[in-house]
Amino acid sequence: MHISPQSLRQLVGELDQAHHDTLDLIPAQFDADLSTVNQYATSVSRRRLISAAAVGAGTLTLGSLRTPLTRWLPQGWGVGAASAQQQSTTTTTAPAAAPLTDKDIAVFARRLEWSAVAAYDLVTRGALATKITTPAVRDAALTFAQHHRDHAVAFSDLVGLGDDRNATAAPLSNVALTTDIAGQLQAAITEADVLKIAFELENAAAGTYLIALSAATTATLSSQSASILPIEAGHATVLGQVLGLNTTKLESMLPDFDKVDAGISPTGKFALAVGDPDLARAKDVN
Amino acid sequence: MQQELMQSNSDAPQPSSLTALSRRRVLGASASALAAVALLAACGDDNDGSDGPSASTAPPQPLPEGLAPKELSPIDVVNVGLLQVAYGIQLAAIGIYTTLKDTKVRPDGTVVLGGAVYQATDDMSGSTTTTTLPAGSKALFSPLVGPASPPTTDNLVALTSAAIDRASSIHTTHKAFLAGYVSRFRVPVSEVANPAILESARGYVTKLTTSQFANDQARIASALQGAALLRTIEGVIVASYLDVAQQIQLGGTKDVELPASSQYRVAVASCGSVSARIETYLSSLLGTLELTKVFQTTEGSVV
Repeated sequence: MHISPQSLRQLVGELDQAHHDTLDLIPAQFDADLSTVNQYATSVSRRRLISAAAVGAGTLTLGSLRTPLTRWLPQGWGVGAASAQQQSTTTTTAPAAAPLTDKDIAVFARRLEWSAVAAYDLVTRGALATKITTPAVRDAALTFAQHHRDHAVAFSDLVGLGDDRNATAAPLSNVALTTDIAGQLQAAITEADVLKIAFELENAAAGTYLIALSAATTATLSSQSASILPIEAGHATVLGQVLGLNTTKLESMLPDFDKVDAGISPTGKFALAVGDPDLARAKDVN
Repeated sequence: MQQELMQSNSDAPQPSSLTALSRRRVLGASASALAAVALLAACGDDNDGSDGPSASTAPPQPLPEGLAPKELSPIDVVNVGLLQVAYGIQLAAIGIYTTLKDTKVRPDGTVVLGGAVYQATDDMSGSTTTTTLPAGSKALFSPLVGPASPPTTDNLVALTSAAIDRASSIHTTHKAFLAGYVSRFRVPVSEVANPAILESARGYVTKLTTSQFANDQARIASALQGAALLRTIEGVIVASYLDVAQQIQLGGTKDVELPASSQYRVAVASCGSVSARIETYLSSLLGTLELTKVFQTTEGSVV
C-alpha cells in the first residue's frame, strides 16, 4: 500500500465524480451537432483500416516519430487466419475478417464492461473477497465496479438492450474473458497480485476503447468510447500508484501513449460468439 | 503529514477558477481559432521551422468565406485544423511546464521566468518577465495549496518533481507525434501555442514563480502549487482532446499517404487519455485537497 487510505478514498471520489459527470454529458453530446458530425461520415475509414492491415501497412509511418501504422492496429485486426488461430477453444467465434459494425463493437464493449464488473465483484463480494485486505482498496474496487456497470448500461442503452442496471454481471459478460480473469484472480496470492490483474484489466479496457475509436463509424459510438477511455486510464493510474509504480516504474503508470495493442481485440481470442443472443437483439447504432 | 501539507488557504485561488477563466476566455475565441487553423492548414504560413514554442495573444482571423483549399478536401481541412489545435495545446502545456521547471530566483530577489513561452508573449506586449521581491517578504499571493506547518520531508517534492519531469517528457513526445500527423497533410505546422491556455495560466504561473518561502517550506509549497496548476492544465487537455476526438470527421482525402481519419481520433484520444493519467496522479499527490474534477467531459475544453 503506497498511498494513504485517506488519499486513496479522496482520489477515488474525484474519479467517481468525473465518471458521473461524463455519463451525464453523454446524451447531450450525442444530440448536439450529431447531424453535422455525421454529414461527411462514411464507412471509408474502416474499410481502409482493414485493408491497410491486410496489405502490410507497416511501411507507412506517422510523422517524425516514424511510428508504424500497424502500431495503432489491434493484433489480428482484419487478418482472418491469424485471428482464427487465436480463437478460444471454448467459444465459437465469428469470422475475424467479417467487417465489424458499430453494433458489434458496442455489444462487445458492453460484455467487456460486464466482465470487469464480474472481476471486481469476485474480489469484493464474491468467493475471492478475502484476497483484498485493505478497506480503502476494497472501496476503490467497489467504486470502479460501479463505473464499469454504468459503462455497460450506457452501451446497453446505445444498442437498445434495455435497462440491466441491477443485473448480475457474469451472465451478461464476455464469458471467455470473465473465465480468464477469474482464473488469474484465483491464482493471485496477495492483494498486490490482485491489483496487478486489475491494473492490466483497466489498461486493456483503455486500449479497447482506442480500438473502438479506430473502427467506429458513428459519432455516438466514438463519443461514448472517447468519453469512457479517460476514466479507464484513471482507474489504471490509481491502481498503479497503489502498487507503488510511481516510485518503481513510473513509465508503466504514465506511458507515452495508451495503445491499441494493449486492448482486447473484438476479432481475437475474446471475440463475440457466433449467434450471440445480444447481437440478435441489439439495434444498430445510429 | 501529507494531510497537513494539503491544508488549503481559504483565500487561495483554486484551480477550478482557472478552469472557469479558461472557459470564459476561450469560448469567445475558439470558434474563430478553428477557422484560423483551417485557414493556416489550407494556405500555409511563414513558419520558420523553429522547435521552440511561441505564443500569440492576437485573436485568430476567421477563414474568409468562400476560400477553399485546392488539394485538401473540406473534411481534411477540418481534421488538420483540429490536429493543429491539439498540437497548439501541447505547445502551451510544454511552455507552462518549462516555465515552472526552469524558473529561478536570483539572490537579489529577481525572478527569472523559465522557458521561452512567456518571454515571447511579454516581448510582444512590452511587459517585463522579471519581478523584484521585497527583501524578507512573505509570499506575494495566497498559495493554491499550502502547508499548515513547515514540512520536514521532501519526499513529496521528489515525487512531484518526478511526475512533472515525466509529464513534461510525455508532452514533448505528444508534440512530436501530433506534428507528424499535421505534416502528413503537407501543410506547415503552426508553432503557435494555444493562447487561451497560456493566458489563463499566466497569472498563476507568475504568482507561483514569484512566491518566496523559507527553505524546505518553499520547495514543498512550490512543488504542490505547481502540481495544482499543472493538474488543472492536464484537465483542460483531457477535456479539449475529448472535444477534438469527437469532432474529427471520417472520410476526407483519397490520398493513400494519409492514414484513415479514424486514426486521428485514436491519436488524439490516446494523448488525452495519458493526460487523464497525469491529472489523476497529480491529484493523488495533492492528497486531500478538495477539488471538483470534471475534466473527462468537454467541460473546460479550449477547442
